[in-house]
Amino acid sequence: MNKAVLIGLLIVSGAMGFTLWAFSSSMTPYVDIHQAEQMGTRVQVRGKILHNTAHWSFTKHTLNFMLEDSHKDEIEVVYHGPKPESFDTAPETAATGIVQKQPDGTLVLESSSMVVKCPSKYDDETKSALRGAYGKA
Amino acid sequence: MSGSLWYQQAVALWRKDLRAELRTRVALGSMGVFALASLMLIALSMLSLKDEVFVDALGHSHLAWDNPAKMALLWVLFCFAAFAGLSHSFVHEESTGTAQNLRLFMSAHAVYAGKLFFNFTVLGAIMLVITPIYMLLTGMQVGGIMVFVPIMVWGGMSLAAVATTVAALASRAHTSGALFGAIGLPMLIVLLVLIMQAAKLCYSAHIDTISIVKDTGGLLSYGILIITLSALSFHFVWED
Repeated sequence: MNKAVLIGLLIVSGAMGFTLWAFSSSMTPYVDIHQAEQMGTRVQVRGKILHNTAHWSFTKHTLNFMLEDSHKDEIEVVYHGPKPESFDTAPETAATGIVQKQPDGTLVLESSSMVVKCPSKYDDETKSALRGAYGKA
Repeated sequence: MSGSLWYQQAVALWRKDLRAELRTRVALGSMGVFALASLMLIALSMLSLKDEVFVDALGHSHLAWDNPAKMALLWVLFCFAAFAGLSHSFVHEESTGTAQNLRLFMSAHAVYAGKLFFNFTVLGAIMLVITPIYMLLTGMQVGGIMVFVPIMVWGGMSLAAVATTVAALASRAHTSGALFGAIGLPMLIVLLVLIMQAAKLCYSAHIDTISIVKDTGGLLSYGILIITLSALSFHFVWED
């Protein structure tokens, strides 16, 4: 291989690695609740919304609810912003924010952005319920 | 000319382009008019926002148009100005028929380097004029000088590198204008994200050395990456 090309490829691989390292901090990683508590940086936590704990405050414009991840760990989410339209019917959400310690010692995910998962009419439970309702096998 | 070294050829091409530019002022004119018109628009529409404050849900007050937002708008201006003016560098050679002469008498590396230096010179001149005027009009602060200067220099270098590469690709296509935007966008997005990341650091209260190296070094390494990749692959585009 040509010497100049080899040097060029070495520079490219070095520069690509450094750029990726610098670029990575602009991304918010998906983590579970345990990792989010340890990290203390801006993260995304995906989990099930426990709807019986949800509370919308009109005065503070905050939405409080408990989130349960795949390991059955739970954390309180305080979302600052307008309540997403499909929140009440959404089974899951991915909340972006930082885990902060409250004065009483509890850990809370202070979230500024949230993506809610739309309830699907194509999942197995709904499909079987629909089949039952229409009397199909 | 064909017997001289590639960097001598590159300097000769840079001087030729600079002389032609000073005579015709095609790139400087289009970039300057675009930048000044944008500045005027910003001055008229955004001055009322200068002292505007909003209160978030937690009761904290923030400036509606803070320094990183002002920096973002400045770089949007530079990007559009660069793409308005620098696209002509290769298209001009093809349309006037001088591209064949360059292919005969210069190496591909020399052509790429010459065009890159020329684009960086033109963009640098525009940035030197526009940045102080923009800072006066909007009240944008310098922030951390150790971050601000690398953002401007390495950001400008990376933007010139992206514009040169895309101009080279677009000059070989018939619909060069549309292609220029389509190819340039993905490369520009990465550059703008890196610039915005560095801008946040520039205006933050605590600037640590690792963050300076990471954020400003990211800009430099992206510029080096684009330049090296383009230099390695330029002859595939340039030679028939």
